[in-house]
Amino acid sequence: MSGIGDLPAGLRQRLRAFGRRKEPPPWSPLGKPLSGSTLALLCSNAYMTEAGHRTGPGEHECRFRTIAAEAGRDEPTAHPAGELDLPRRERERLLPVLDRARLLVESGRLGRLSPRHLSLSGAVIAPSRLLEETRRTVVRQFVDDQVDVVLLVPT
Amino acid sequence: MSLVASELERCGLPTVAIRFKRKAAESLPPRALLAQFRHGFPDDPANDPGRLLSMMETAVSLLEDADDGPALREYGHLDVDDREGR
Repeated sequence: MSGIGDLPAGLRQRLRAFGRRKEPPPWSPLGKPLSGSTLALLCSNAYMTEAGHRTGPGEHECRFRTIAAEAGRDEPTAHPAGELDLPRRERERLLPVLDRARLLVESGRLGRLSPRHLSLSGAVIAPSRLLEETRRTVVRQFVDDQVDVVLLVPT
Repeated sequence: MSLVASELERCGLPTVAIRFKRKAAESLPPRALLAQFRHGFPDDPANDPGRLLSMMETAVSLLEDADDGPALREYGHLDVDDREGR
């Protein structure tokens, strides 16, 4: 069975550095009860593709898709703030998660859903590029939408 | 995805993750629910529709329960490989 030693030297070095944590992971406490909180979903996909186009290695890592909270509904009850129609692969994996999140709101466990959710690439080889190109956009979107908590789900 | 979650935590936004690999759950952002499902299919098995809802409810509960630092919780029965982090 192949291992990390079979990878190119540059990639081995990056992976080893990536796994070496120098400080505890950042942590923020919950600021308000969940029943009054706004939740946003952060989901992962193997890769993001444009219609009919298969991305090359590394090209997909910074891409993300904004999913409207109304995605999957036959008749949206609110003006969509993201994509309503999803590719089949994402539809199969992501919509059940979104549907269950709606149920948590309806049951009163959560306050409300963010109008927008995100789907990112789940496999990242060049994390610096992701952090530089995507981080600000993601944080800005969640701040603008007044998100209080984020649930990460591997879809 | 976890890199972005770390950034969200740094910006004061609490996060919680559902994971299917123990090593990822232990080494990445501070709150995680370790559950067993196929990679990319948290709604698995499809004939148990209540399972995903229960998993998500348990995961968000970590945001309230774990109020003094990182936390890892297991959901349901895990195979031996999952328990040993393989």
